[in-house]
Amino acid sequence: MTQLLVFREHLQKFYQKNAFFLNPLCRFFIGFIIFFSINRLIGYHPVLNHRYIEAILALTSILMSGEVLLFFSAVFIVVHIFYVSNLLAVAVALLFAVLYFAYLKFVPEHAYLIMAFPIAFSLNLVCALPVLLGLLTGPVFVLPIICGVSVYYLLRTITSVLSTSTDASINLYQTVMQQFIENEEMYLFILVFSLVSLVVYLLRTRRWDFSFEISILTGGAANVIAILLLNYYFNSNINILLFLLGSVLSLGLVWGLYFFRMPLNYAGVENLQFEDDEYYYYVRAVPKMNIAVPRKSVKRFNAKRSNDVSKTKQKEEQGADHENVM
Amino acid sequence: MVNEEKVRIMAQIALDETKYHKKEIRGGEYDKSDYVRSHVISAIWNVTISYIFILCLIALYYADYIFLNVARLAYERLGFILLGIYTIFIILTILMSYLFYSKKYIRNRKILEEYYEKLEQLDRFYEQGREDADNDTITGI
Repeated sequence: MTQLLVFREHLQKFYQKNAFFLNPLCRFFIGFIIFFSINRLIGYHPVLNHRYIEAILALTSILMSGEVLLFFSAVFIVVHIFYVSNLLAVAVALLFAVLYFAYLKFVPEHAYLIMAFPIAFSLNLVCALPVLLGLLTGPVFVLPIICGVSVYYLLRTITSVLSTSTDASINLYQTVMQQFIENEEMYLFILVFSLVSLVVYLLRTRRWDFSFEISILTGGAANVIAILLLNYYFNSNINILLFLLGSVLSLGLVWGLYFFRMPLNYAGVENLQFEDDEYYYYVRAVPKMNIAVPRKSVKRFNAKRSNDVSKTKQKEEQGADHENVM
Repeated sequence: MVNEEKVRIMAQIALDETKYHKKEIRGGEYDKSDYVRSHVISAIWNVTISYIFILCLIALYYADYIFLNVARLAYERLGFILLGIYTIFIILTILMSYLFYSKKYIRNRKILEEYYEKLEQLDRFYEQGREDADNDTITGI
């Protein structure tokens, strides 16, 4: 643990020192992941579905704010669908507009969470999101879960309908909407993710030692079991090994985020009790784990250089003697 | 000479203004009733647009039926139903946004109080600087 804390301190210092380069690099990376995931999920347009296009768009995303990047990713999705069906693209654009006007206008920061769901699904890291939502937010997490999972299943329904149907546009839209609304798997995923987030939230707000670690592990395990049961029930044929690997990686990511945010030192817990005129106070103070990074002092033992130094000193002394004689 | 404490407060003020509490500071110019009213109106506008878009999507879904029965549709009844649903939506929006933005305004006031406290601290520094400058006497031969 000490080694990890030292590593964290080093990493934080490294980031502080190189934030000027690291921030654009992170933005590029995030932009690339977003456009790569969209292309992987719904990459119909042959011009846009290329790695170099993703790289160019990711480069431009360095200059964009988070909101603009999300707007462009929504436009990117609509353009892909527009290539296959104009009417379907208009419908999806209208749905995104409803999402924006009815929900995201009031809570703009939830846009990132909603966008994270399709990306996490396509990268097989979806286990991380409900756990993360339970850790970071309150019971309001149900809303981004509903919208995020719905957006993913809408895109998935579009791809599955387009792969089989040869209907005209209006019928295509009707088929997509029908399949989307009747998709039981989507409702069950929403239910599972909401329950997992609730479990994580309830566990991490308990006054137990290691409540955060317990909530991450329990939430992760519950998520894996529930998804495996859903897979069995719906016969979804997911690759179990890949799914388990993704789940472990997701939980590792969540734990990493928690570790960088606030590892707590439960050995130093203080239970305080005091009172004033109006209240009794029962305070539990858990210190954060901090560690002093050992400083390395390097002593140089260089024989050649020390000889040179002694020679120059001798010369200086000789010069001074000559001056005194003169 | 650079006063470290002053620089620290100035940096905090700059961060509040540009990053952390940009919206709260901008909204701080309003009285509570104005703030809540303007946001409730904005919410009504947003919900109205969403409602129109949802109606478009539903109309698109039932396009075949609408085209076939365009002459036989009970427009009056349909209009009443749509207007009734819209009224319910709007009442809910007004209630929820009123509660939400009233609460938000109170939270913003607390943030603004901290911000104004920092501004006052900075002002005291400048005041002190001016007093020191006035008290300086030039002595010489």
